[in-house]
Amino acid sequence: MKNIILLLLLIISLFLNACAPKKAMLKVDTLIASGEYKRAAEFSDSQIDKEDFYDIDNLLWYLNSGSSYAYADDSISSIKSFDNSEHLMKHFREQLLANDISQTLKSTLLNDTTRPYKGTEYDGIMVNTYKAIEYMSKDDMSGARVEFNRAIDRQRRAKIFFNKMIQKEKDAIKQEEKERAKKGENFTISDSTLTNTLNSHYPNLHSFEAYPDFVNPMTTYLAAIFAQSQNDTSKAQTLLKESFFMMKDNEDVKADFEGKRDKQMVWIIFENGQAPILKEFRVDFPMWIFSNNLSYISVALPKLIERSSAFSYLNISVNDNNIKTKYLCSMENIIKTEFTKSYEATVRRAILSAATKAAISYTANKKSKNTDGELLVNLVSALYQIASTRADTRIWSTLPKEFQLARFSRPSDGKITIYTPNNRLVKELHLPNKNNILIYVKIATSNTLASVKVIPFGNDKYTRKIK
Amino acid sequence: MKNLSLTIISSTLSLLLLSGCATKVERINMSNDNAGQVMGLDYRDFNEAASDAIESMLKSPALHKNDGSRYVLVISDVKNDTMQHIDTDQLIKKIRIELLNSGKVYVTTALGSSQDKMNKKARELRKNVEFDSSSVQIEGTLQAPDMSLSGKILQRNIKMSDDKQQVEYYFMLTLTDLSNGFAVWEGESIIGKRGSNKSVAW
Repeated sequence: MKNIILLLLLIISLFLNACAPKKAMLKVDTLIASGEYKRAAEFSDSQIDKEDFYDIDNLLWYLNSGSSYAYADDSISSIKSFDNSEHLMKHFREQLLANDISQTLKSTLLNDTTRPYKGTEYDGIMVNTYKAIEYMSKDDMSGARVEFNRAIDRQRRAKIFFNKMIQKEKDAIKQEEKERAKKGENFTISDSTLTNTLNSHYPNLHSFEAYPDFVNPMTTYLAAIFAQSQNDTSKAQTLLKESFFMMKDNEDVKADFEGKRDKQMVWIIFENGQAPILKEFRVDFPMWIFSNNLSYISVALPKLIERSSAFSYLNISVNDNNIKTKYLCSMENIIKTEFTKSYEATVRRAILSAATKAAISYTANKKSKNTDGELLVNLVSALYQIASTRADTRIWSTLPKEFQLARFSRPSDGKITIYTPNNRLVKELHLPNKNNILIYVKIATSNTLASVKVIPFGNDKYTRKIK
Repeated sequence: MKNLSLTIISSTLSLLLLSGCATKVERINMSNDNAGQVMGLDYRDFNEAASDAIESMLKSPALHKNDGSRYVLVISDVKNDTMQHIDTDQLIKKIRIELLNSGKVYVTTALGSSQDKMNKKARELRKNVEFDSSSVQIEGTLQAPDMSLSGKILQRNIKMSDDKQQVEYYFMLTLTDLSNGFAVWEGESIIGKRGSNKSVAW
């Protein structure tokens, strides 16, 4: 009886623990969506476990805090939070790859929400991109160069790390399936059953246009125009070439690639809308855990839910001309690319975890059959399965849905005005008399205040031949 | 009272245990440090690169004047093109010290990346009646440089195998004769490191 009470308490705590971080994450997302950047930053900061730096949710909070401070124009705090994010990502990844199979297996058998949020590849790339922008806005071009170099290096090494990590998890899953088979339990699910079941529950999993693996075209492009402004010509050429081949339809990227520019140029990067979030859904997989008994195990899986853009474009009034921002690349597709690639491992891990719990319940129920406690044991084991089956829905949700770009010559009087398509004023600006100016705009939803940063950058003595 | 005594005893024991566990601080022997390498750059790498550059520069005829007088050298930009947040002065300072000690150059701090703002401030005192005008610097005393030292520290990361990566640091320096814009000396030293590929090299 004592054990049953303990188990009930555990179930209650599982329910409570699952709700707390979700609510807090929703709050920071709402604050950003309503343009309350400083409050979002402070709230994210308050959620960081300062006593335990390696707490399982800390990375996610440092990411939210870093980006919120960036939107709130507090470069120093933003860089500090992103430095901590980088430190945590490095720690969790090294730990993951250093683990032997049995340790990997232990974490595989647990519900995914009990594992630390270790960050995705695109998280890492965006951390260094944001940091580069923050160093630029602090007028520290040397710091910005270091961060762009890191972002590009992350793109290079992402594939290596990702494949290694997935392989490690696959090996652990296979090993556990073998161990179970020795005990007469069949935990294996065929590729065709897996694909068919997923196709019927998540039909649009693969329906998007993917970029080259783990590359964020906006990062490559921004690193290119930065390198160009620093007279790092050969690096700029390589990065512009890569950018052009990923974003052939964007005329402004093409103009940069072809070296067409005036002496004084302005680039507007518009972070438009909200990145997808993850929601849990349940799928029943047929399994012959015990050879004579077909059972359906309920698995909780994450699903990407797309969200809207704030506007279809922004209007910029320059010298009585109207310039529109144009689509540059989709953060949503970058997220989807990585999510899809790791999905099979996520599903197999969830199945293994659910099957293990089902086998434990089956054995407990069998033992209590025809005893006084049969009903209670059945009830508790069912509740335990429901409470402990959770999908990991943690995601850096304050990123944008997409990036847009406008590129034009700086007007001689420096005056520009940014409007929404329905002529609502976003910002009136008087640009400094500099050769390279980045304007970074963030608008998450259509009725929110924008975050606008004006960042002169590069070597001002830059005098490139005007074509 | 009993409770208080217990608290004091347990606190003292905890303190004793904690101090026993603290990591011992060691002083580094800077002239013979055989401790393990890091994938980033540490003082040993800067020392090595600076020594290579000085040796090569002083061996070359670039800084030699037949009449024994000295060149005036300005330190231009030394670009950090690595993935580490480093201060390039860690490299340049040692080179400056050695060059000054060689007796072949004067390093100006009136221009360039290592300026001393007092060069300018001291000259702003000319109209300040609080200062003895005879002690204030007169016009036309600053010396224009003959030579400029510029450079770049570059990093390349290469995957060797799934478990190992190679990180190469290139210390590239150029000495320019400002009278004609010719590069009269160039030096490059490479420091390579091999280590774990489990995570990023910074």
